[in-house]
Amino acid sequence: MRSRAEWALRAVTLTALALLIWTVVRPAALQPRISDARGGLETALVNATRRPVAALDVVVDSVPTALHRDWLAAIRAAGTKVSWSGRALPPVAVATSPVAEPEGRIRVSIAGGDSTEVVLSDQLGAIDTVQARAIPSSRLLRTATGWVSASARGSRAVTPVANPVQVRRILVLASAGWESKFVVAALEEAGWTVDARLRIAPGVETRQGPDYPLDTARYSAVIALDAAVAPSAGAIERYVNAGGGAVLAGPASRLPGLARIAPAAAAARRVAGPRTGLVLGALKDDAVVLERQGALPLVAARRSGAGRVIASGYDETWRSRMRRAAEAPAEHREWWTALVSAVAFVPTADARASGGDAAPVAALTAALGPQSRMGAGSAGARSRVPPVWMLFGTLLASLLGEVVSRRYRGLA
Amino acid sequence: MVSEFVFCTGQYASGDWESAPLVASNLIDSVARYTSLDVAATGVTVPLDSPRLFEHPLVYLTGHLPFRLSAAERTNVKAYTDRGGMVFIDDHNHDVGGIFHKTATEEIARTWSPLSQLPNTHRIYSAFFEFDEGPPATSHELNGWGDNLIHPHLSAVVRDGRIVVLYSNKDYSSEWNYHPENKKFSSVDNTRFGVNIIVYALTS
Repeated sequence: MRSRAEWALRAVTLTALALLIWTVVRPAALQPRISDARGGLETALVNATRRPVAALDVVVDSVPTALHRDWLAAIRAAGTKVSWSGRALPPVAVATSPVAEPEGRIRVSIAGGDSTEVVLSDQLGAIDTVQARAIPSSRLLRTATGWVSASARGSRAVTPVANPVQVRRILVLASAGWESKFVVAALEEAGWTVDARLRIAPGVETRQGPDYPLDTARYSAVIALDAAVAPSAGAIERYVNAGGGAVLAGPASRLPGLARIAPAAAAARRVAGPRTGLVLGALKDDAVVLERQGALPLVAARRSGAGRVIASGYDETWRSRMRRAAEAPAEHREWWTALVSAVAFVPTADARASGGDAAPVAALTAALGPQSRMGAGSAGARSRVPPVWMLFGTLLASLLGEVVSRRYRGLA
Repeated sequence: MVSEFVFCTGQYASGDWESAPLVASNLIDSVARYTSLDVAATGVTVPLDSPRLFEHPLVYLTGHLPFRLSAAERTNVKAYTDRGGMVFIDDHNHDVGGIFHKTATEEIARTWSPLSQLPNTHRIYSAFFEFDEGPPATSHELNGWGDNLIHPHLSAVVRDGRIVVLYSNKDYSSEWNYHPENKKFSSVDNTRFGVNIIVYALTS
């Protein structure tokens, strides 16, 4: 009987010893779960890096930082099977871009799951709360400091604030008339520096501003309002193909000399409304319609060479400004600024903003794949190996028991 | 043409706004004669309290009698100039002691701000024809009628560098109030400054 008990104790001792050794050299599949309890994920990543493991299951309650995502991706690239799971993290993405306008506003675009409530902040604090949608919505900010973040339930997208761009002059070419007068006025009120060459009589034009050649070093955009620009059509085409922006309004859009760059040509049909205008026809295949009245295109855009061109059927926008409504001048100003901003030449280097963590959930999925279904509460992922302290205690107890039994063998 | 220039004479409740009926056709003739601007063959008359005023960003006012704006006219014409409209007022009396001048200058000060002297180097004197010495003298000034003065300057309310209200004591209303056919009897067309006013309004 004593002999059997001693053999049993020896067996227990050897088993505990074997398990202890196994605990040290075992593969990661039998590692305990790793939770992102801040220090926990960091520690787990350190351990997994020092001792290569076979698998790592990360349970998160917020999106790991870019550093931790990259670290996990590196561990996966080294051969460890990495999976992640946790509560539903709303995908949020944020981007900033400068608006090509004198006011120097920043456009913040936010995208996310439908109806996700997103808090928009910058370095100084909260700015606004928006309902994110899959199709990005945008806000124009007059100022933003440092970075802009969009936060929603454990997801926080961050992007640096884009540098405002330095816009250049605008050139308006037209006959003298109410449209040219009020387009110049609206753009000047919005802060643009406007040069104008307005034809009054054959060979006679009134000039505003210096007589610069039309190039991207001096002008952000050129606005052609009517057929008086025909002699300048070649210069406008060269300017656009070199990167400049052009707005061809009304009859200017159907000038033969501008046909190669125009997205569309104003037809004869006129539509009424706050801004009366001509319907666009002959849309080019690559033209994008920006504004319609019903099914009728009124504003269209396309790229030509390195530049952008907008054709606008609206040839009497001044009438929308000369309404009695108090907001009429501001609306006219905003409309023309938006049109010019859409095509204005901006040096590419000025418009770039890099860094940040603009779409953390998307980046996590890109780095580690979609969320594991063996998520939180999955018992299958747990190790069945007892803790080290229990193994060591068992080893010690069985060893002592076996030794004591042998020492007192003759006393019984 | 939808965007053509339409000469607009303003009708106000007080006074004799219609005292120079041929000015419109004469200036329309001159604009068509000297420029390539699209101009309507006939002018329009628009009450100053009408929303239609906003369709014509330059309005011409004249008269001999007291010039008073009603509250509705004042509100409308103020909003009109706030949006970029320009008002040209000519004293048909050519008399700084006359009732039109006194009441018109008061009304301008009440509606906008007091008039200030327009320098003779202003762009309006070179907007199309060149007038190196400022506003051209009228035959009424040269003949000693009215206040027996040659007014060397025009007056204006200027906002952000743009003339909002142009005011004349020179009686261009009498000077230009004749049938355009009769220009052939003049060695120099005396409506040329009227072309400058219109071109300035269209380009500034």
